[in-house]
Amino acid sequence: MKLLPATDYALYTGCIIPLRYPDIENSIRETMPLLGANVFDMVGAGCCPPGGAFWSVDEISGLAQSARNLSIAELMNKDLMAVCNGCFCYLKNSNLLLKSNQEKREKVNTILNQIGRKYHGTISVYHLVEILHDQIGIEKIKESTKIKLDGAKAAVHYGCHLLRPSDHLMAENPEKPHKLDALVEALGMESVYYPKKLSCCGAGGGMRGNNPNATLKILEKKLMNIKYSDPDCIVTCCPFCFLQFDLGQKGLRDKGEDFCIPVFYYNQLLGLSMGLPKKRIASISETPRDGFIKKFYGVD
Amino acid sequence: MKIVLNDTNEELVNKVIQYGGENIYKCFQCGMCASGCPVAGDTDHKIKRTMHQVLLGLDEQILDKKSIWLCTTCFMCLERCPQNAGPTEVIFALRRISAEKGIIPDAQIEVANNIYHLGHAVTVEKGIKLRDKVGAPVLNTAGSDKKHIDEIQRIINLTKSFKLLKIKKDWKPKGDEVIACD
Repeated sequence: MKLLPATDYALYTGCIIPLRYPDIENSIRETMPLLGANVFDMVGAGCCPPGGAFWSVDEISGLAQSARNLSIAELMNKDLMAVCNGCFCYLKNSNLLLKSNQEKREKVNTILNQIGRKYHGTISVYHLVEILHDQIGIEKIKESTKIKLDGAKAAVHYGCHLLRPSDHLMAENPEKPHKLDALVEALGMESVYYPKKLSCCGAGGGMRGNNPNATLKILEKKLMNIKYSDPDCIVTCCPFCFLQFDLGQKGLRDKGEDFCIPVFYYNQLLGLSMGLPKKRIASISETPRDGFIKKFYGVD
Repeated sequence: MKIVLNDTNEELVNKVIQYGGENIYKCFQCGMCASGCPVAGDTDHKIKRTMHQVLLGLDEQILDKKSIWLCTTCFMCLERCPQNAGPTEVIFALRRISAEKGIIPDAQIEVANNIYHLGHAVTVEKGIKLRDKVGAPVLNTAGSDKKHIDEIQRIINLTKSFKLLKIKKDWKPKGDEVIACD
């Protein structure tokens, strides 16, 4: 396999991936360097923080915490790779706002000064999907895989905070995105149509915690639409959506509903297609995936 | 027929503008926001109605209920609004106004306390066990060391959010469940 020239990124893992799905973290750490994108740890990085709590009560406290994380990547002199949609949305939004708004930047730097840090505005924030699709490219990904998922059907879920607000997030058509579909098809799978593909999984903004019944109802509607296309799996690029599909389907099964569609973070499938071991990169889930892995990868 | 609105607060719309919902006056009640809203069908959160209530100054009807906290912040309404009135920004503004009145749901308080005390939105100990199980590298994010958490605490101490999110100095996480993140 021919490698791309190495590009270095500061890997911002967030909260859900390192602390609930570290197998997803392994899948990112092990697949990206094989494609020429080297990842380096952001030691001491904290929560992004989320829109549901800090941003919802005070913009400056959200900005200041984001700026602390951005300052860690600035000291590494590397662009930041976000691997969660929520982290991507709020870190990228903060970075753009702090670069363009002097008053807010000064307020935030007054706070950061108290902990011996400073925001400079010297790096950019990217989502993993952008790096895979725009920088590495579909052809390189095709070349990197050993096992093709011929015949497998995937329901692709982009998640909200990768695409919206579209004026400052990933460069895409927000009503008809194609990048994650193209990445899924690079593995040999078919990305199937399903109604309301861009609708929310129902987890964000504090909803999962504030109203457990409504969060499951919204998820159930989403899953009914997904079932319409009878896919073999759901593929997403956001760990919170992943969690909602994984634990949410279990929640619905506990209520007697029949939802048991295997869920994967994109790099888990990419890694399995590269021949990486299941135990390290795809072994934590409440909704079983072993049947899919056995059928399409021939691995127990 | 003459409709009389009692107890309206004309200052509400100005406050919403001040707290981030600066384009609210562009709303002409077309309903595009509600048409794409994922929660409108299953909860009391009705975004088109909320936009109208702000313009009418019906602050008690909005702030005394918790429906503004049921927005998943998916930004579909903001994306599709033909007037760029920014409905999601209006929700953020209303949440900020609500928090100043001391009205804030438990999930927000729980997540904020997690972040303040652990450096992350979720508990760390369970994560370390899972990392060990799948052979992930030793944790080195904020949750791995008190000195990182101390930086985050000092940032939060310097902002309004310490009080608004009801951060407690003596606090224990309720459990390992992930209640909110983005």
